[in-house]
Amino acid sequence: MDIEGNVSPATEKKEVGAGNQTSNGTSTAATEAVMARFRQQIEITKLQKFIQFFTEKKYYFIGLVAILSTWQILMFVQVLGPDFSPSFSPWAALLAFIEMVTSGDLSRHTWPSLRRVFYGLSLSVVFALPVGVLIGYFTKLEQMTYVTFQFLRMISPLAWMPVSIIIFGVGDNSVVFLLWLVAIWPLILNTAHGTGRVSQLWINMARTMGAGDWAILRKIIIPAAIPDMLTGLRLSVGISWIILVPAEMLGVPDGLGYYILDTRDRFRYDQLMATIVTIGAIGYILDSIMRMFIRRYAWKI
Amino acid sequence: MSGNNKAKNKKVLLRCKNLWKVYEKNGVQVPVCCGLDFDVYENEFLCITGPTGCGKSTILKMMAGLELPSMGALSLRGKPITKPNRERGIIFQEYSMLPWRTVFQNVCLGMEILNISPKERKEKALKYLSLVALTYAKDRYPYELSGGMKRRMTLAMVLVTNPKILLMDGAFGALDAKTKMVMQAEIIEIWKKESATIVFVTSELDEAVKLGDRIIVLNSKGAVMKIINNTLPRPRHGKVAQEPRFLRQFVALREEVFITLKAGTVQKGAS
Amino acid sequence: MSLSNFSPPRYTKDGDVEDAILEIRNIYKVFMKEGSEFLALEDINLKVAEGELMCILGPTGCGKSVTLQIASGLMEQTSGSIILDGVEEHGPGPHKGMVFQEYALLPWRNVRENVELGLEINGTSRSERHRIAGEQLVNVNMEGTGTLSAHEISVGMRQRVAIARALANNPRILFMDEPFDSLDALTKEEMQIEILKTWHQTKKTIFFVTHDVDEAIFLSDRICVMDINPGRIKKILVNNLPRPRHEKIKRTDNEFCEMREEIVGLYSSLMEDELDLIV
Repeated sequence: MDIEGNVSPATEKKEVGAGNQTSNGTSTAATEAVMARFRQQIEITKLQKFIQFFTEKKYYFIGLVAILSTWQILMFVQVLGPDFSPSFSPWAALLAFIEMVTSGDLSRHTWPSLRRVFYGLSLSVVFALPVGVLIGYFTKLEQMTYVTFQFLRMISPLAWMPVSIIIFGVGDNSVVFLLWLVAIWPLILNTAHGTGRVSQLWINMARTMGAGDWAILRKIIIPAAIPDMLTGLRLSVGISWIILVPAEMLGVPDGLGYYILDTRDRFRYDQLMATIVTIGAIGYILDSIMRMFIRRYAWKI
Repeated sequence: MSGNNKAKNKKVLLRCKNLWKVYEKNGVQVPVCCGLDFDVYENEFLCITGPTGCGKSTILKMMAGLELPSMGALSLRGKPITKPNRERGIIFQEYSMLPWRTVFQNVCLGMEILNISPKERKEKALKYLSLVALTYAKDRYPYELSGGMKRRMTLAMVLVTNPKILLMDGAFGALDAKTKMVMQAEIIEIWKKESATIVFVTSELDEAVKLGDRIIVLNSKGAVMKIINNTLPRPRHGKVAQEPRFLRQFVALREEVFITLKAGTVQKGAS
Repeated sequence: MSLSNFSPPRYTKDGDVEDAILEIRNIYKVFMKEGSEFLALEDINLKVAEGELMCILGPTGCGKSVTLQIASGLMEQTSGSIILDGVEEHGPGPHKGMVFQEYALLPWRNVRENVELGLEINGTSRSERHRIAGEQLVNVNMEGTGTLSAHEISVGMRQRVAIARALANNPRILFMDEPFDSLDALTKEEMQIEILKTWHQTKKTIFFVTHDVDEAIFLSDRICVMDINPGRIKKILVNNLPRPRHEKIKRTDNEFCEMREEIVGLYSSLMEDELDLIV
């Protein structure tokens, strides 16, 4: 513990050097024997670690395979009845997926969906980040908006559908508005939280260097809140993608949400399943990208 | 004593005059500083020590301008201190660097605030990074640094803004013993090289005795018990500090500080 | 050994003891550090006598903490053996009390419940637990504080609770790993006097690790001075300063200074920046 734990990185280099010195220099036969036995033990642990790595990872694959086969078997024994089961199976979905990709149907519906989410998120970032910073910075403003915001964020954006159609009409704008409406809350609240808990120490430090309010906001508060902003953005991306599908069921001529209804109307349940899986996969990818973003851009302590 | 002679020849840089600070706690007024009267001379290394809760950190915060005294006045070269300013650099007990900036960017922070050109910024930042021996780690982030390196970095962050006086609040308290020794020797080097004026608050007697030209001992109430002139010869680190003669002088002085401290401490708790 | 005829341990000429309660025999410890092995302890041999206050003194990296952790069973040695009461020991246990620098008090338990922890684990009855905890709190001068919670008491008091907790299990030997290192000078002195009083009252054997030269001189019967690179014993000094120390001797006294100078002299061969002993 002392050696592994208490030695600070500044002194580490020196000590390793000193360690080497003893193993080369002054060591006695007894010391050499102990070192040799230690080396043997280390070898065993390395091998064990190698095996352990595979043992840990393999369950990811086993789980995935198990779930897919369960699905296939359930369809094979026709739990949904003889008419439906074959087209709901993963194998049929895979074939339909390949068909959709080659025919271009899939990309024809995926790109509009991604575009709408992108617009919705961009607009919400532009709106929510400044609002969040202001609310976090000025306690009075936070108190003034608290009830309204907590109240508004509990309303499903789909409830605003009629309002949105009255304002924007049927089409892209309406969907983007709904996505904007759902994405702003995690962003505002997380940004405000991050802005509000900036350490007084940093602010004092900047003040003693002669910083005014503007410099403190620019140099300390906003950068300090970035991890929380990114966490908010990740939540927003997730919830936007979830809301996208029902929003696209309301009057637009393309998009993955529309395509779900379309496949149902054409009784192409294999395509329906393929679309559902695609929606899940894209959501997973978007979230992974956000996680990567956070790892890359959020500062660490 | 020679300490008094030295004091006479020295110019006053910072003056504390009848300084009081009173906090209100649950409706009761609790004084933390009681009528402090002392001067800090130019190029002096002044140590302030005292029992826990004697308000030593509050004194530094008032010197920095982060808190205002309830009564009395602080002045730097005759000018009253009313708000924080880069003339008085403070090194906080906690690490105050920004975790999203690299070492180099952190050191540049103060100069960015002062709108110094990027070229000059780089030049000065590199100069002070080499002064604190951190050039090799300039592109690392704070979480990649050890305690001692973080301490050196906060030192460079403040020094680069050219403060007239350096206020250090229990700066080496969190470091392990070995790093602490190294940092103490280093701060003395920097103090000499930059002919800086340093006010150093510490709760450790060894540290106060090793570093200070004078040691102000506070009591539990937050008043000055005694100002002790530290006549130990410098350097006080390294081989010299192992010599019997030095050791005895050192221990005698530390004992004096300790006895003063003990006399001024109200014992709380069970015993 | 009966408590009534407790007498200070007798040492042979070279500062060794005849019959030991704890024997550290040929201990080696090798670590893996940054891909290369690092010899932390080389051939440590040490005997601790019953009722003795043994101080292990050395700078950072000399392996004094590792020695303590191996002796108390918290860490496994690469080679060698630990013998307590003539029996070879493996792993920690209630008969080897531990006091950590960070107190390790449980914040959701009050002072008394913290002291009772070990007894609860052993399955001691409730009334017996109460009696022992009360007794131990008196031992560390903390009577009447049983119902306070851990965050309500000062750092010095927390350390006393930690000592009481270790003593509650009635250990054969008490291991203390730089217990007063993080305390301020006043509390430290107070705790040093306190631990000596507790030691006199309980007659426990104490194995005390420190890097503070004055602390080792103030407390110990013997000081085991350790050297670094690799960690090994440099010299074992017998400390004959009169007791009770806080009444009979001052740190500025000649005998105290001579002892300090002898120890500091032992380290004169070390590089300056490797030395972090404090006096």
